[in-house]
Order: sequence, then C-alpha cells, then structure tokens
Amino acid sequence: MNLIDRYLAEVERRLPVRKRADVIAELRSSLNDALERKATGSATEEDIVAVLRELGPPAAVAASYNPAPQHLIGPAWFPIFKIVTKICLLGYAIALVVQFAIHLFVAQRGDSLRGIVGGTVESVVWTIGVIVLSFHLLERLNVPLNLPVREWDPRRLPEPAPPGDRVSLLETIVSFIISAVFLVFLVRIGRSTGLPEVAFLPILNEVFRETMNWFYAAALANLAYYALLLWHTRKTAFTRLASLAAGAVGAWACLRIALGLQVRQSDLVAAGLPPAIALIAITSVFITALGIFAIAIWDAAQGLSRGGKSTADTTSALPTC
Amino acid sequence: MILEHAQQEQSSDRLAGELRKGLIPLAVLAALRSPAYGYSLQQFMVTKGFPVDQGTLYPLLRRLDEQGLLQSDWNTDEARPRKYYRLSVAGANVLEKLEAHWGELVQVMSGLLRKEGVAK
Repeated sequence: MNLIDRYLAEVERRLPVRKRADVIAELRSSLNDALERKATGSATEEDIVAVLRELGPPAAVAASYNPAPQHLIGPAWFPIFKIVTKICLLGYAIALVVQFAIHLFVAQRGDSLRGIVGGTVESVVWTIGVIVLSFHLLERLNVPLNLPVREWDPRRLPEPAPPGDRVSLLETIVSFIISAVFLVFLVRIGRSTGLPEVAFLPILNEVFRETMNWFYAAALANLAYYALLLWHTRKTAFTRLASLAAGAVGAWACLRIALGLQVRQSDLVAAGLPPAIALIAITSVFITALGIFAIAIWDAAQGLSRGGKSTADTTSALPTC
Repeated sequence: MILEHAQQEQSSDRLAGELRKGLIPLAVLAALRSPAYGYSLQQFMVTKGFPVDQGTLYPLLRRLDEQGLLQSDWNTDEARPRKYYRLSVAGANVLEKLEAHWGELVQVMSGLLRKEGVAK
C-alpha cells in the first residue's frame, strides 16, 4: 500500500460512514492533482510526503470534515451541567456529614470512617462521570435547550460583597479539610484509653469523654458552616448565623471541660497533678471558651452593622441628576 | 526589546490570520462564479494573492455545498474524476448581500483607518 493509500485510510476511518466514499474520492483526486503539479516526472516518495504534509495530519483533516462538536459539553448546556454537579456534590457533602453524625452519636453503628469517606469518594467520581456522559449525550444528540427567556434587569444585579463579606475559596476549602481532619482526630482520641500509668490521666480522660459529644457536634457544625460558605461564596446573614451557632457549640464544649475540671480539681490534685497546673489548665480552657464565643459574636455583630451601613451607602451613591 | 518586537510580530500575525479567516467563505463564493474543482480553486486563490490551505478549503467547500450555497458534480469525462463546485442560485443571492455588506465595511474601515481617532 503506498503512502497516499495509507494516508487516506487513516483519514477514512475517522470520518462519519455516510461521508467516507465521497470525501476520500475527492481527497484522492486533489492529492493526485497536487502531485502531478509538484513532480516533473514520476512522483518520488519525497514529493508524496511534501504533498501529504501540505494537506495536514489525517486526524486534523478528518476533524475538519466532522461537524460533531470537539468538546464534551458545549456552552449551551454547561451552566445547567454546573448546577446539576453542584447540587449532587452538596447532596454528597450533606450525606457525608449525616453519616459521620450517625457514626459518632448512634453508638458508632454503621460503616467505619474510612469506609464512609472511601464510599463517598467513589460515589462522587461515579456520579460526576454519569453526569458528564449524560450531558455529552444531550450535546451529541443536538437536544435543544429551550429555557424561558427572562428579561435581564441590571437593577437585580447583586451588590458586590464588601471586603468583610468576601470569602477566599482556597481558605474555605483548607478550613473545611482541617475541620474534617480535626473531627477524625477527635474520634481517635475519643476511642483511645489514655495513659493509665499516670494517676491523674484517667480522671482527665473521664472529663474529656463526658464532653466529647459536644466537641463532635462543634466539629460537625464547623464542617457544615464551611460547606455553607462554599455554597454561598460570600458571608451572608445565614452563614453568620451558622458561624455563631458553630462558635457557641465550640464554646459550650470548652466551658463543659472547664466546669468538669473544676468539679474534679481536688481529685486531680489528690492524684498528683500540681495545683498550679490544674488552675492554669482550668483558666486557659475558660479563656478559650470565652475567646471562641467572643469571636463568633464579633463576626456576627460586624455583619449586622455592615448590613445596615451598606444599604445607606447604596442609597446615597445614587446619581442626583 | 527583541522579545517585545517578536511579541508584536506574533500578535500582528495572529490578528491578520483571524481577519483573513473570516473572509475565506466570501472569497471562495466569489471565486466560484465559474465552476472549479478543489485543487484548481486552491491554485486560483494562490494566483489571486489569497492562498487558502487545502485542509481548510476542501472541508469548507463541502460545508458550503451542504448549506446549499454551492452545487457540486463529479466529472468523470477527464482522465481523473474530479468534483466540480459552482455557485448555486441561493449562493449567488448570499454573495450579492455579502458583497454589499463588504462594500459598506470597506468604507467604514477606511474612515476608521484614516488615523483621525475619536474626537474629544
């Protein structure tokens, strides 16, 4: 088989069946015309190579005859694809948090943590694959997208988020991951038996174990808060409320530890913990609880004050012509 | 400085390429007032100073044919069978409109290119 035949065979197998015969016949005719003009006598291999190079690689030539889209999902379907994917991912995030909660609070029934995370990752990959395939089929079958055309009103554009309400995507994702890791770390601590050879540690373990569920709740609330931030992409009254709730639960968990330690202070000292260390520990946990709550309140208050201010600013910024 | 010059060259080549690309269908329709087969049309475009790659020209001919702007027939009388294209009636109408539009564009662009700039 000579070079032209090999070239045309490569183009042909990439063309839609109904076009093959005609396109290949035309290309063969054109290639022979070009070759006839190029070669003075009988065509050498170099002449053929030059003519084929001029036409281009078989895949590129075949692609230029193919009206099928060269992309998986086109611009018409892409916004819908994004919304569907987002909803599915949110569903999986909620399912993950619920599974975690069931695992932690309902007597650690159900799958292991590794099983829960592994199963979710597998399902997410599988679901995204199915969504991409479905939208690609809609694209290939040329299914028209008949969305009702709504008149666009510039007055409905959202106000740009003031600096204090802006959310860094990277920061939020990192915070989400850190919260998830912290939750797993808590679960490990909750299950560990501590170090029994030190006399006061069992008492500490007991105090922590009594409060552990509140720490789980705080970590879950944080996860939910960061998921909300990722969804809203800016701080809103709703995300501030979630932040306040997560902060309150975290502060309450710390406060419970501090109270527990205070109640058992004499036992701890009797078991060998120096009184000064016990006092420092109780005070620092108290301060941490207050700090967490104060930060949550401050963030919520800032949002409230900015909410009122930004409305006033918008009104005063209207042109006075 | 040399890099800057090279970048400018690249930009102007790219923009000139984009400008030409948009004009290829008009040039092909205009050239096919007389029938021609793929290779002969390509050579004709070269002689007219508007060269078009074969990889661009042949698929374009097929698309214009499918859109009904060209008519095509295989000629088997010659030594080698060749597919001849010529402007269809619909193609002639479209060409007429495009020609008028092109005339307006040339006028507008000439005005813009007189280096007068936007009046203050």
